[in-house]
Amino acid sequence: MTEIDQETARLAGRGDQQAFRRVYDCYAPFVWKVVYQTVSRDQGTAAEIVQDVFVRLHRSLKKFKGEARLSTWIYRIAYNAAMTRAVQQQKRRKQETPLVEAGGPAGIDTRLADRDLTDRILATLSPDERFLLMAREVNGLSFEDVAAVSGKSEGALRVALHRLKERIREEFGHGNQ
Amino acid sequence: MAINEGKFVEDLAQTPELPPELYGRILHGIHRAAVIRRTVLSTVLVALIVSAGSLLAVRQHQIAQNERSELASELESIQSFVNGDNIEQEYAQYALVDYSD
Repeated sequence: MTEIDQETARLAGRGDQQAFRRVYDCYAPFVWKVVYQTVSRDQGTAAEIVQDVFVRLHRSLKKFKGEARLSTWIYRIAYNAAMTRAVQQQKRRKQETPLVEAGGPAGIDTRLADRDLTDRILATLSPDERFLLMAREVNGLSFEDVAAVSGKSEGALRVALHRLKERIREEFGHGNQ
Repeated sequence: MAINEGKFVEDLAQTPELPPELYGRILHGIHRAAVIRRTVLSTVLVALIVSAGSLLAVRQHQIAQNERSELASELESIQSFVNGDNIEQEYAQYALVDYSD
């Protein structure tokens, strides 16, 4: 994960607008990705959460003492905000039909069918599982980084990811040949 | 299987661009949060000052009332004395009077 220099972080904490903009430019793209991918890929909700994260960050930066990496600290705030919203969404949403039939309906564009399959798979995952999958498989974070952000142990994350991938393969592995 | 997984990960990676107007919204949110904080602090401060002022006014009123009562009592004694009343004799006299008859 990329890091901004301590001096910029310190200035941003003291209210320097230019420094805060540099912090935003450095970390917002990744925060956006994590949040968007974790909360069911809804742009409006993701934008609200990212806005909330950086407003809170602006107030909290002065308290950051440098005991951990700034990126880990920021992504942890984003992770918590995304989890809270995703759990709320999950409670409101009805159970979706998770499985796709082998072969799919005739005449449908393969790309759309793939996208539909992806969305269906994601709908069966918990917010934590979605985050883990995205962080590792898509964003290439190390287990150490994912553990630092999520607060879970590396060992538990490795086991969880392995089981998750097995489950996805079993349920969806033969679709869309 | 490998092709499906590859497509799945490829699809997962598709994320729209960070909305360009988002930073402006964040600055607006920061400004709003600061205004709310200042308003709350000012309200609490004013409430404290008004409460302290009210308590002080009530206390001063009580003190003033006590002083007036003592003064009134003193003036009454002085008046009785000036009228020729022997206050101490009257106290002794009335203390011996039996009103039960």
